[in-house]
Amino acid sequence: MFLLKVVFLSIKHHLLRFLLAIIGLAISITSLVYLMSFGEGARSLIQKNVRAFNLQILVLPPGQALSAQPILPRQLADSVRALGVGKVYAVLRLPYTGGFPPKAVGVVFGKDFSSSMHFLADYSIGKGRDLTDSTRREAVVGSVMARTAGWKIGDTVFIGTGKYVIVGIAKAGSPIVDNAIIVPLNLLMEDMGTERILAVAVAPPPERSEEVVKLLKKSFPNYSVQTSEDLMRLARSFVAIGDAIRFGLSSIALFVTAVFLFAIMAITVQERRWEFSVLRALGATRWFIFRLVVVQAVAVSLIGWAFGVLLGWGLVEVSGKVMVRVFGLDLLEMSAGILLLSLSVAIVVGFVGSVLPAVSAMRINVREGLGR
Amino acid sequence: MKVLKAEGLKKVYGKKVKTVAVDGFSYEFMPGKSYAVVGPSGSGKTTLLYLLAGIEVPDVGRVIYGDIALFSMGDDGRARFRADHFAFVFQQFYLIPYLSALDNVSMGLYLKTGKTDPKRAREILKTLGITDPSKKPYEYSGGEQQRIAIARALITDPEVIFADEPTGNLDSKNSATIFKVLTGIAVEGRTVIVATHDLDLASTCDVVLHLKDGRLVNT
Repeated sequence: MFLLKVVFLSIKHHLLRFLLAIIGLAISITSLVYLMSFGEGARSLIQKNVRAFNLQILVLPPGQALSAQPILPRQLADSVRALGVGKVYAVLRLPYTGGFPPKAVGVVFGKDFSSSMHFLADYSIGKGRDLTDSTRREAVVGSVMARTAGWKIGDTVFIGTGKYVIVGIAKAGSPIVDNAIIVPLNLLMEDMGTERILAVAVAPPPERSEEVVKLLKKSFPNYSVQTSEDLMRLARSFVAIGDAIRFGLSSIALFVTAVFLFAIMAITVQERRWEFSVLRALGATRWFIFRLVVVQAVAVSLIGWAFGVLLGWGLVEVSGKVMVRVFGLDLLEMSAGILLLSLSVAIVVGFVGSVLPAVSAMRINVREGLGR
Repeated sequence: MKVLKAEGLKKVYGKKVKTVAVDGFSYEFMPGKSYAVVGPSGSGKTTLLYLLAGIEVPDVGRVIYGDIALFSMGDDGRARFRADHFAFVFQQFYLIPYLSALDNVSMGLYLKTGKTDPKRAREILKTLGITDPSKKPYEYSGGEQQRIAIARALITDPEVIFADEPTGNLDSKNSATIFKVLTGIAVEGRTVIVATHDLDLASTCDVVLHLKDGRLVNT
């Protein structure tokens, strides 16, 4: 404790100098926290999105993990259903951007009236009513979509060549439901001028999951059968690549900070030669002097880390709110993992930035240091 | 009671131009006595103190304390040995500027034991006339700063105290006080070795050693 007291009093004594290092570290850590929170947000969003769908298995076009274009025949859903594998849903969705400049950004989903389940897990009606007829041009919109676009029940939504009357607003739930527009599947296909769908979602009874996957792979060898775990794994690997790139970008700032800290510590050691010499004359070992310098640099790093985390956290919160308001998506998220990563990085920066000055301090010749 | 023994100490500085700082110094310093090492500037007083304390390594000769040869130990071994048995007082006081008087004194004990004892530090400071130990060194007079430095030396309960020109930066009144304190410490059974220019003050010590060109010329 006394050593820490000495270290902090020394930092206080040279505050202006260390303040520069603290600011540098705070900025670097802020950028690290902010950039890494994108990955954390994306991971969390993927998890929420996968959970937002009532599916365990997707039948997709061959060789595809995630389908982008509707190229599967609509009848495939009926063929899957005929196998008796559980609840089956024909999936068709398209991105929606409404207004100019765009006010509402979301996703249009086709409701498969021939299925006994709803594709969206958290879907329920908050205001008005649900779609009841596959032939009526009616729509249910998510609560965020309704708010950002200024829609209310009775308004008309234009999707491609078709127009739909809003009959219900979904209860606030998952981000997917909140930003969704749901219209009858067959009418959506008609408006898009297609006979095709994106995928067939299957929700088998839990105890039959493995058996159903095998059956689907055997029955439809020309298609790709993906489980929700497969999708999560794939999505996570994309996020991990993004994490690595973002960490690489942050590392540039952190490297510059480490060099800066090194320069400050080297000057400090030079100025405190007499102090280290006195301590050596009084009985301090070389290791004690090394520790004194390194602990001081790490302490400076940790102060910078604390400010950086607070600043980064604030930025994540504010930006997250702005993103939700503008895009309806919360892509930023703080986590214990980010805190631990940034803490480790701060300690490493402190150590790397001080190890050479510390070695130089422990090698000071006492007589020379005292100017005698 | 341990004797500090120097045997044929020699120290030369410089590579091209060689300066002999200490040349064949041999002597036995007895416990309970105060020693003044006097001589003109450049006579090797400071070097001798650094050699005796194991801070500097001699080119020739050895220093034995009790039955331990100082230079048979490595650098860190000697540092630990210094913390356990010796203490140092400097001309420029060398108090750490960002620590209070109390913390400066505590540092002495921390280096020896890894612990502090604020109560004992306060008591020693009070004995030396420092009643408010919470101030930073620059807030004290020169005489007070040197007394704080002596308290930093005393808190480890050292057996040998080295003082390098301890009154060099003080007026005559404060110098006399400091010498009185240092010679008083020797009475308690410690060995006190003081390097000084001041022959009047040196005469208050039990033994006066005269150095000239690094050699002991007489006692």
